[in-house]
Amino acid sequence: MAANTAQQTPTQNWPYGSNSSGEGQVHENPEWEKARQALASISKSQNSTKTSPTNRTNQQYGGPYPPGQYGVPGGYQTPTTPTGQAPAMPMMEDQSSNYSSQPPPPATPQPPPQSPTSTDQPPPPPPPPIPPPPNAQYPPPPSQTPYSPNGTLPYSPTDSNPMMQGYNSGQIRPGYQGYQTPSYQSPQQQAPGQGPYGGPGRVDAKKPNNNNMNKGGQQLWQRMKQAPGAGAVKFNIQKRPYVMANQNFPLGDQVPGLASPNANPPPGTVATTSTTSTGSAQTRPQDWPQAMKEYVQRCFTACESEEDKDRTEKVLKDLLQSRLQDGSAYTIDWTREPLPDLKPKQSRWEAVPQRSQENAIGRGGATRGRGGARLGNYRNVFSQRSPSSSSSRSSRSSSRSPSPHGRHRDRSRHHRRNMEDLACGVGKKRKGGNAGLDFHDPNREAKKQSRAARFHTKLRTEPLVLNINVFDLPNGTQEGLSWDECPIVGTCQDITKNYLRLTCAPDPATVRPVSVLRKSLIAVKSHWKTNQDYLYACEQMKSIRQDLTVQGVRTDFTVEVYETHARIALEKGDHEEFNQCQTQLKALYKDCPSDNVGEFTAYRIIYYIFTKNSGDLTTELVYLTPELRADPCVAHALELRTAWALGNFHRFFKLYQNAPRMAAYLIDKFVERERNIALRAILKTFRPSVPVDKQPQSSRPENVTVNPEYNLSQFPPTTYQLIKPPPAKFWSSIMDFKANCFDFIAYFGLFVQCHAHSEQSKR
Amino acid sequence: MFAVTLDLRIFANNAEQQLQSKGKGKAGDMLEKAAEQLMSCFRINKLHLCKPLIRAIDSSNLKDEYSTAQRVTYKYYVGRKAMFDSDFKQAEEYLSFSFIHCHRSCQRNKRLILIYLLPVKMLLGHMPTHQLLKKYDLMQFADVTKAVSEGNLLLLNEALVKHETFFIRCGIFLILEKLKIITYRNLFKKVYHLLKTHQLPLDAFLVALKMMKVEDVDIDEVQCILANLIYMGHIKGYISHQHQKLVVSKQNPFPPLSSVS
Repeated sequence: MAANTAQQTPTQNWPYGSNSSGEGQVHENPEWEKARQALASISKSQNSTKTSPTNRTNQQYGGPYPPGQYGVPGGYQTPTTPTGQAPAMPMMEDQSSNYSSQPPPPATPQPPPQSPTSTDQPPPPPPPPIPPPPNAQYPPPPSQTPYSPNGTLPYSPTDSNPMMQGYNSGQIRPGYQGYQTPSYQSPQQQAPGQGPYGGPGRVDAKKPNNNNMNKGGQQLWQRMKQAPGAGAVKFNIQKRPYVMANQNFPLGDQVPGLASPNANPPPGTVATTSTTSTGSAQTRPQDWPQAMKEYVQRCFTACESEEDKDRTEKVLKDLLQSRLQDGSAYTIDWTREPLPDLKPKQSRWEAVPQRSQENAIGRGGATRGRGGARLGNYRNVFSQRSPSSSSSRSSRSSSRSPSPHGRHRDRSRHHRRNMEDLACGVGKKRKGGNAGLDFHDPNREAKKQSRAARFHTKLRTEPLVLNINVFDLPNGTQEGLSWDECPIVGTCQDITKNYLRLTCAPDPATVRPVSVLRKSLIAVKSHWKTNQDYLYACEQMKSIRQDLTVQGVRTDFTVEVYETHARIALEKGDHEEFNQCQTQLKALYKDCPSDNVGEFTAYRIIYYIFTKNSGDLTTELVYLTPELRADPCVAHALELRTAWALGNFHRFFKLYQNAPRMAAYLIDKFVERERNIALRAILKTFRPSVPVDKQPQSSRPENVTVNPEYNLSQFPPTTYQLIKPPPAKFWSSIMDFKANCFDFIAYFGLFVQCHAHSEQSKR
Repeated sequence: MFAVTLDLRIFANNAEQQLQSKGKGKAGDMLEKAAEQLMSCFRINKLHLCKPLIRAIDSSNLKDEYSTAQRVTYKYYVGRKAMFDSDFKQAEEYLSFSFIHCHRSCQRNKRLILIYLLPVKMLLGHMPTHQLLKKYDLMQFADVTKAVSEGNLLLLNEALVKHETFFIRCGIFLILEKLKIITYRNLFKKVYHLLKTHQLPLDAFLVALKMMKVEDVDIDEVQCILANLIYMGHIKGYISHQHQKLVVSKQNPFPPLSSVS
């Protein structure tokens, strides 16, 4: 949103609350109102907690509510739940009612500090009773109209509104702003995200606490509010805030991309995006103001390439989501809104922030709502700072580039932001802070949770690190993730984890980061060595593999994991699992060659022999490099293949006995088959008798059960038609081998069926 | 990408077939489409997809309506598929048809067909003439041919190694390895003719193999090879382990290759 202009416009446009908001939001009403109320409440409460001077006025609400800030969100359930935004509505209404007396002009100043101020402002402490009425009202206009006097109160991108009215709007606005932009630092930052809370709070205030609300958004929002250290609040932090992601925000065709992020917000992505969830749920393209539609069109026409279009789409999604969430969509002057500036080189980062944004969108409307309100501000501010399309993006990009520094920088900024008021200047700082926050988007969710749980503001450090790790991986792995839009960084610290096939976007709280996975691997290995419990080991390995895939980790560690699993599967003879692993290894070796390439190439060749896959075998041979051929494992496998192809079972069994590493396990799978063929040939060709010890020692099956009662006459004579010597002589000669005859009978028993069978088949 | 093409083709072919079954449709093109699909199958190395296609075509009774060109192409691919399935008789039939009916001017096509026809024919015992190889610029097969007919394992190994890349690229390397068995058979046949007896000591074969510089063969391996040959029907006889001899039949101990399935 054009930060400043938007802020200005809201005041005038605020009546949008009555007009467009009414119209637009009629469709999305319950959530909408709830979101607003929640936002208002949050911003109020935040404002109260924040000491920023700008929050003074805000603090009129915030003051009495220090516990209430959290109470507000907590009280509502809405903040915690997607429906939590509803409470925001009541909040807003409350505020609006408070401020209705105030003339719009006072509200005007509020616009500027969209997100920052809102973040700083104590969340508006909407009285719990308020939420219900907005619910009843359903359409936003009722809730919003009160705001009209305040101008763009709720949705104006006022961040820090020192003014009273400013507070009102500021409360509201920051909330939205905070949530709206992924960059909405305040909500996102682990710092006492008052600002963000203001935004989301407002959103929540706007909407009654409906169960329809995005739970994720609420929770996110809730978490954020708690982060500042408010312990008193009761949070319904759901494990999977992004559950709401499943709710479809019928964003409409114009920005199709928007819809999808809502649908599948990767849980890992952080809150900022979650803010969009609640409010956006009901925004539909047809609800959008015409100016907004034109704006969207302008953005797209400005794109030159498909890539640009994709980026624009993403940016717009977040942007519009947030705006719609907090209602500022109708108040912003879209005609003056700067077009998103897409930075090609930031694609990697953009992709992630985008995803996180999208995730947030899907996840929690509240936060986004808050952020949205401030988006306008941020955008402008950011565009001043760097020409990035969305504030979140820019902040993210910028924060990413000096990532390690950024983190520290951001953290300090966050703190600063929390402390300072949300004046424009603060907005700028916040921008920096936001930048840092944006950078941490993927972790935000997790961080919020951890924050909520521990009220540590610096908890971020660890996830931050993880974040960097993840994103330091090759690009391809990230963008290549088809089923996971955003490579998330997990926060789960469990060493062991059960394996469940993922049916939706993963929740970072259940995904283990690489450091934990390393420990998991060690644990699994030791467990396997001691217990030989294949099912357990397999399940654990699968879960480790899953966590790695979800996080887009393709490093030597991944190779190690797959190799370990392949070896365990080999030991147990599980060739399907082994095949899965070795297929993955084949792809992984291209990126991260390891020392065991030869070994696993050999296994692959042997596996093709096992499956008699001559086509792939040929292909494999084609791609064998000379040094690979020289590898002992590979050389052995090649010789084995030659012996197998020629039917040289003597050599085959000899090689089987000398198989290197774990090839023997794999050969085991088809050694019986080969043994049968060999014995068939032997039996047919050797006459009149075959001495048992002639049976190639290597081809002698183990555990031959001796059956002295075996009746030789049972052998069908037809089997030996090709054998000229009379069967009697044949059998007598067999009986001569007293010492070994039982063994031989066992052999007979073993393959006479197959021999007969082969004879029949030969005919 | 090929997979996509293939799917499209399969779809198109199915559509055509459906059309055809309804009486309409361009029967003439169907074979061509089928051939293209088969080509895609080969390209993406998923030969199992060919089977339903071939079955569908075979069951259709409009074969005569197709032009020779289409039939040549189609049979070429079907022949290749049969070759990979080790169904050499069928393969030979299809590929021969293809080769014979391929237009004289299409040298490239003829050469391609020949690449696959030669191994099949050699496995069946028919060696190509030198002139033929020269004509179609397939001199890689020259050494192979010579080695197989002489039972010269050494030469065969050398030839295979020398042109390995070419053979692998054509996808016939593994099939040419089967020629080794033919070579063994020819070698042992020579031994038989040299010894002029029906009871051939196994050592003789061992010596023969050693002469071919086949490394680390022992008696067991010799017996192994012989057992395989007997089992496959290339030699009529049996091995007497007690006497360490190969006893061959008095009549036709080495039946001609073409008669052996």
